[in-house]
Amino acid sequence: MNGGAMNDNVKPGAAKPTVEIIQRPNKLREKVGGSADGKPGRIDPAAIMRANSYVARLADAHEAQTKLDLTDLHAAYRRALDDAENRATHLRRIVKISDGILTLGKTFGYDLLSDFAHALNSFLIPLPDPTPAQMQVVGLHIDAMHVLVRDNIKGDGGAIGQALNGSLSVARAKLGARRNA
Amino acid sequence: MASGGKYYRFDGLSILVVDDNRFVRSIMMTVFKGLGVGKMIQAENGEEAMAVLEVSAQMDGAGKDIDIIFADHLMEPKDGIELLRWVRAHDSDKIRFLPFVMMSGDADEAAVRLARDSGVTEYLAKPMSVMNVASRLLAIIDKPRAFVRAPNYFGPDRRRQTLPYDGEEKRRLGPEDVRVVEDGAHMVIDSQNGIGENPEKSAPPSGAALEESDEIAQQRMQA
Repeated sequence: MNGGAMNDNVKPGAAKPTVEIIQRPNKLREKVGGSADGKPGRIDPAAIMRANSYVARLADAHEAQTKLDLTDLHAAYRRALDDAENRATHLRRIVKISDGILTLGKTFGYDLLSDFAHALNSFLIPLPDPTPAQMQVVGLHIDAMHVLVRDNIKGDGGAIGQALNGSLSVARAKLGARRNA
Repeated sequence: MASGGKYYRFDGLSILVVDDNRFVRSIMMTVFKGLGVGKMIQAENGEEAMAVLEVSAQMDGAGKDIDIIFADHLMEPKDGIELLRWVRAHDSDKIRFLPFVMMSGDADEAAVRLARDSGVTEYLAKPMSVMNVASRLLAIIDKPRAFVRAPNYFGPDRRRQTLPYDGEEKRRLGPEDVRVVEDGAHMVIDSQNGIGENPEKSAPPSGAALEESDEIAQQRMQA
């Protein structure tokens, strides 16, 4: 160690420690203007509001992007059904697209869309080689997501959304990875 | 956000956003712009991020460094975990000590544990929101953790809190196995002795033992 101070735990002549705890000066805090007394700072509420309003302006772009994502998702699903040899690749693509939908759904008020995307991935990731019935459950999730976007169903989806959610939950419970094992 | 304290200014910060979804990247950039972050750099995947960071490591001068990495978990080529491991294993202190926020839709215990054991600083469970992102920024700034260098780990201290534990003592390191370094800028490490060579050491002082059992780790994550 060059220049670093050690604690009192190290005895003179002892073997070199197997573990080091490295205390670093908090330069990031200095950089953002943190007070010298170490008191935690805050983010200006105006900055939070500004960020939220910037994001809200992208709602139309999000809707357009989500429609594209759902088209891609459906295409990847069709390929996973038709191209058994490369199914793993197509399933990974489904998970990736669904992950993108999950990421931003709630940001723009599509809570249930994010939930369905998350449920789809949670169902699909533990399945290395889904059965035809399990693939059908994947398709149901994609169809349900289409419905949410087509009918502009936001928040918890109301009665229609909850009915869809209930049906998908039952399908996942019946055909999820544990039952398959 | 936290009450009290002065408002932080992020105009001096430089953040690297790594995600292979262009739209997600643009939303992240929009969020950071709204929060007043001075400089945002984008990378499309882990591989591209490595190239950006490599350049940053070689640049010398204030204001040119990357301060924080926000990276998606699911990416190709090189996903978020591969990028994180590369960062923590980097030769340059400018890179390996960087705060790293892993963004993931898969926030189950195994995924979080994998990121934690790879040296992640914060974990941002999707979906994305301004508050989610802002809270991670505050955590990085206000609650930095010391780094730990152990035979099988390099990264922020994985112990975020001390919880009572009544079970059998399982820690295997004694106080003489641990060295506290106040500045990691010129670190020289020689960890020839494996952890298992001191199994009889069972009562290190508070805060000295670093290998927590899975049971303890699980209790901590659930707390």
